[in-house]
Amino acid sequence: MVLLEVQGLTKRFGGLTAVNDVNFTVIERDMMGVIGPNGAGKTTLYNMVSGFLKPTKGRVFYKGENVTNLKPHELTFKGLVRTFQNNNLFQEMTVFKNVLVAHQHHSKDMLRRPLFASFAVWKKDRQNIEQKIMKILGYMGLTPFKNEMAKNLPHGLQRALGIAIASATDPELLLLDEPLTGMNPQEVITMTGLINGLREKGITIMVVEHNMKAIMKLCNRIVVLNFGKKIAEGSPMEIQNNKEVIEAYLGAEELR
Amino acid sequence: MKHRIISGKIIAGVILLILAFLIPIFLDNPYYLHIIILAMVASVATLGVYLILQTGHLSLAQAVFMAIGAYSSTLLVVRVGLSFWLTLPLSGLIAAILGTLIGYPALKLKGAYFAILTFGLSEVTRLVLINSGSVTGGTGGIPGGISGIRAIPAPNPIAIPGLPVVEFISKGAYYYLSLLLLIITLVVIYIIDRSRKGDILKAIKQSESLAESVGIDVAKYKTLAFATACFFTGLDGAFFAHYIKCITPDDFGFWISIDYLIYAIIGGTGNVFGPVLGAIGLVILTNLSTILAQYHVIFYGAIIIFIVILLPEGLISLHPQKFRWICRRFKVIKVLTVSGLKNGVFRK
Repeated sequence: MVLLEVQGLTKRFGGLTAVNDVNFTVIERDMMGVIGPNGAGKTTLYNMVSGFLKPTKGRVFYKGENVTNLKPHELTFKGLVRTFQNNNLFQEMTVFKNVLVAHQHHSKDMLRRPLFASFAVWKKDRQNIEQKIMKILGYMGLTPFKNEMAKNLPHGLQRALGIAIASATDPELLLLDEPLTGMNPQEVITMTGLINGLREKGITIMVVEHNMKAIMKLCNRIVVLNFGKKIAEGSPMEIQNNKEVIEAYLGAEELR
Repeated sequence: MKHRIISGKIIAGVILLILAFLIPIFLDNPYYLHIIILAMVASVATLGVYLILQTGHLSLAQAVFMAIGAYSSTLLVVRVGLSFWLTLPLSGLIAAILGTLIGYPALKLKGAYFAILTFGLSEVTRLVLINSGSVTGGTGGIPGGISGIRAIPAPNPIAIPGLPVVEFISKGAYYYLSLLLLIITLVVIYIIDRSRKGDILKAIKQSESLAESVGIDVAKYKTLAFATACFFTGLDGAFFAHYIKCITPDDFGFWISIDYLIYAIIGGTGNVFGPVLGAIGLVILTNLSTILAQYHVIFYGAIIIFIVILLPEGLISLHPQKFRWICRRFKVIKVLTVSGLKNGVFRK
């Protein structure tokens, strides 16, 4: 089933065309990579798909529905969630609370006890919610840090927390924005495994990344942007052998 | 999960509450009561600033909503003939509605630009009030000329069955009404702060984009918080008008908004009680230090500088360890000064 369809998506900032007539589709259970040199328009594309920016032209369809002008929180309710490039976290909250806040929008809010709730119901719901949060934290390897302030986490764990937060909203389509930036090789291996694991859980994923090895390993389809235009789309094999892509971006890099 | 049934904080709170209720009985001096009433009025508006700060926005226009409340209530009572007890909630509602209309687009602005907009709003309001003499003065029976309204009637006496009729002549009745308003505002904002709504506001303050991406309708919650703050500020303004009985546009100028902000910061923005503490403390300080004649401004300024340096998180952050730390700081200053004098540093 086609999960996401992007038609003629264009964004102009005054005289600068950041994204120019981009079309592609994402099918359920895909792992779709989005690559391109810096400034190619990848984050702008993400911003438009996830509702943070209004497109100048073009439309976005999610599960057949026209969602072009919806706000980000509405898209999240539908199952379309994004992560952020820079460490965008609730810095003054603990790791646990970060994930809790993300989870709360579809829980019945028993964690902050409403004035007239029955204590037993409250307690049971609270346990359920805590369990769910701990499961998410456990999956991302954040369990030992659950009471640590987000701002005190090392970089790799902050990125992991970002993904934990996004996955706490029960996404169907997850837009990852450079999840591997600033990680050492060991962290890259761990994170790549985790992202694969998310896909196995049934989540469809799009990944913007610069780490070519990881992209080629992870993704089954790749879209290449350059100067706002889509210059290629296909399997990793096809992309690696695409002359235009190599010219624009990959240069002389050795690919596996 | 065992909690102590009655914590020390609750006991302290109850004692304070009882004291607050007893003050007019023991304190006969109407001037002192007046100062305390002004302090409580300022506290409510400061709480409004605090609530908006919780969304990460700095409002320099609380005085505008005081004005809206004050003028709404006054005009409804004097021109339309409604009872104060009806215009009081109405003024709050009017302020809240205008707050929503202004706030929804305004809150789309980031940080500094929002503050600048609220500054502009203050000035616009002042000019509108000054120039609408035909509404606020003139033949409607409101003496006081173009821009001021004098002789605002007192609230009607309340007759609560079983109790003696409460007349609003002496300061006592006004004191309790203002105290009641303060308590209600404090309780509501406290509950908001500690509830899930408070978590949402804190999330918005820490990262709007992240909050939005996890499903929080940021615009809605920011506007709701803003409107709530305006509601209570409007109530406050209405009370203020009928207490002071004479209002002019200068009572609600930009500098008054700045005052509320200072009270909030000095008191501490960590929790609900900081702003109240700051407002009460600084209003009392300002009024009592007038005995220093022209030096009271310097005194006031010095106190503020002191507090900002020594207690950057506000008065509310003062606890025993902090106190000792401050005393140590003082010793350092004293030692430096003394050794300086000894070594002739200060000699010309």
